[in-house]
Amino acid sequence: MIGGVEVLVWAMYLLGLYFTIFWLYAFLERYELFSEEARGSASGKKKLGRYPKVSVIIPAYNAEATIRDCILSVANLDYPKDRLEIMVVNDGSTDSTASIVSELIRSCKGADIKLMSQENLGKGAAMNNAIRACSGEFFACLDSDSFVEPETLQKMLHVFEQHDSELAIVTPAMKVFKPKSFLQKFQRLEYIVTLFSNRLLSHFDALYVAPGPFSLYRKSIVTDLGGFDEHNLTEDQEIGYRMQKHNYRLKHCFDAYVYTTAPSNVGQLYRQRSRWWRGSLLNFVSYKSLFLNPKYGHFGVFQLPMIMLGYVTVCFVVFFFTYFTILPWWQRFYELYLVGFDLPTLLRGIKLSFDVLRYDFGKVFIIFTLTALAITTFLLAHRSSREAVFKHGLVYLPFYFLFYYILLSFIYVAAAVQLVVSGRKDKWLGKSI
Amino acid sequence: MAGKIYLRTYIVVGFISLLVFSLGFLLSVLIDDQRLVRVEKATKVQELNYKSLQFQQLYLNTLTNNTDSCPVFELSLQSSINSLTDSLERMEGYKVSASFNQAEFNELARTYVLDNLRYWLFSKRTKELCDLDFVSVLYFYSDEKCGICPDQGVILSYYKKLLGDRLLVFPINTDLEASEAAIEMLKRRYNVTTYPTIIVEDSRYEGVVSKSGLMPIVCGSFKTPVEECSAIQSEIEEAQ
Repeated sequence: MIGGVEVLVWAMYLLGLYFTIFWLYAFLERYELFSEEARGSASGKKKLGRYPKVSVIIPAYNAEATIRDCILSVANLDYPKDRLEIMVVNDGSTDSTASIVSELIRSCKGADIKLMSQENLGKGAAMNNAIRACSGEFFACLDSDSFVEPETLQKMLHVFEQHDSELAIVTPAMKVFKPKSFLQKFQRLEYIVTLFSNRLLSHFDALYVAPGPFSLYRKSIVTDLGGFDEHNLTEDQEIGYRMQKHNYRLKHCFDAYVYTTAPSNVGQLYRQRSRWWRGSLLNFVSYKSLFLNPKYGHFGVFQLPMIMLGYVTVCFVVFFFTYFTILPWWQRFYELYLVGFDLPTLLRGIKLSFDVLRYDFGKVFIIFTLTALAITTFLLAHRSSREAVFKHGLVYLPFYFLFYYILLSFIYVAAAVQLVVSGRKDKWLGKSI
Repeated sequence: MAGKIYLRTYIVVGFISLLVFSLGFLLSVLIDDQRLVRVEKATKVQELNYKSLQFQQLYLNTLTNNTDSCPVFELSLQSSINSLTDSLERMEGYKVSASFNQAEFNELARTYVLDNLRYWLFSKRTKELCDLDFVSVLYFYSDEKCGICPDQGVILSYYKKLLGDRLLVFPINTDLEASEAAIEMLKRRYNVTTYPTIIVEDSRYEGVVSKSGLMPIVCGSFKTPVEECSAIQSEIEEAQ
């Protein structure tokens, strides 16, 4: 029967179709452009016209486990040592972060490493302090649990060279560092899909997040706009929104790889995503003036509505999952209870008849098309970031498609509830975990 | 510099999306029609079964003391009722997943109510005529007015599975009473005012009768003791 739920299912389906088909269509339309990009990337190093001074800022709070490798990855960047400044901001760590950094300053004679200290104020404040003190024309932010590849900086600066001075931020291609647990392997897949979408978003000038691991900023623009928001849960997203609001541009460098440590269990994942999601909701509300506003181009009229649809979708995934999966199973359990769990009798004379007409073909078709679109996107994403589809075997893929996004949806809805209940209290210290 | 808008792409993609969307919708409609065709076919077969039974009963009635034919008649009555139950179940399943053709399905549901009533009468007559030992249950329910009715349905299906051909359940969907006068007639006859109500061998029980509650009612109505009954009785006693 066509009831309320039915109408909802079809409406969400139509919207989901529209946005998915949009991206696939956009990709196919630019297929040549993408292939050319890939060829350019494969043909090797691009020579930079000049080597501007770059400051890499590493805000560190209790990062003794990863800070050493993090700094070393920057020191090993393929870039003239005298044009590169590394600024570690110790954000009131209570562990041995400071002494590890001091030790590195002594042992790495060739690299220009500086250590700043502040009381524990959070990542935004650490960034602003370092921006005031640094001498670079460009600066990068690097989370203390992330590691950068040697060629990454040159590739990103090359993007700056190809564009005018309105280009404010170049974002890197973020991958998961040595995924071990089930959950990390799911996140690896998720990041690959995100990379693909960032690559497309970049072509539409609709990027709005400058991820913590190694986004590269034109310092003058950031300073003009007042630096980072020190009281924001996701200051790396807020600055993206702010750039969009002032019609500055963000570009994605699809082959500039950075590796970040991903949460390895559900608790850590919840803390990370809850912060992202609450920050995202708050920023969406603060920048609502851009919503459907043609002054902000594709970002305003298409990307922001799509972000909003994302919020709605997440709620519906939770609702649909409960309605179509949890409730029927509960119902079955209850029926067993009614007859005293007498399974032998119930199984008596059971006919395993397969009646095709029993299935609700409308919904079967919805599932079929959405799965086909998801798999297509998934495969294109792997091609785009040159990752093997079956790197971790076949087992992960069905779980990834079936459960991971449902898990994320539940996390997001819980985060939204947390936001409503407890407000925006906690401070973000610049570590993904 | 103001951002760029890709109007042409938005429209083209909207067109493609609508195309894919309507394809799914169309499929939904086509499948719905197929379901209807299938149920209608089953109805025709049931009509034939009924005619055959009608003849058999006439034959039994006409030739007095012709009880040798009783086993044949009982067998065809049972198989007709079973096939009716199966296709009623299927029809109910289709009705739930059907998005369209609700009116047609309601009409079909009406013929199922009538078929059930006809067989119920048949079974009553045959029981006397051939001195058979089965229990028949009239089950009045409503999908619209009764949220707990499915519970009774589950318990009745369970006993049907347990006792097989010795229990005959005739479900009457009272949502159709506005269009089907026979339902109203029976409701008056048995004074049915709430749902679910079950009539076991002319006694009325209102509200959901639980598994342990239904056991003495059904088992007490058999003329000779039934093996499954004593098994379930000891199980229920054990649980208490």
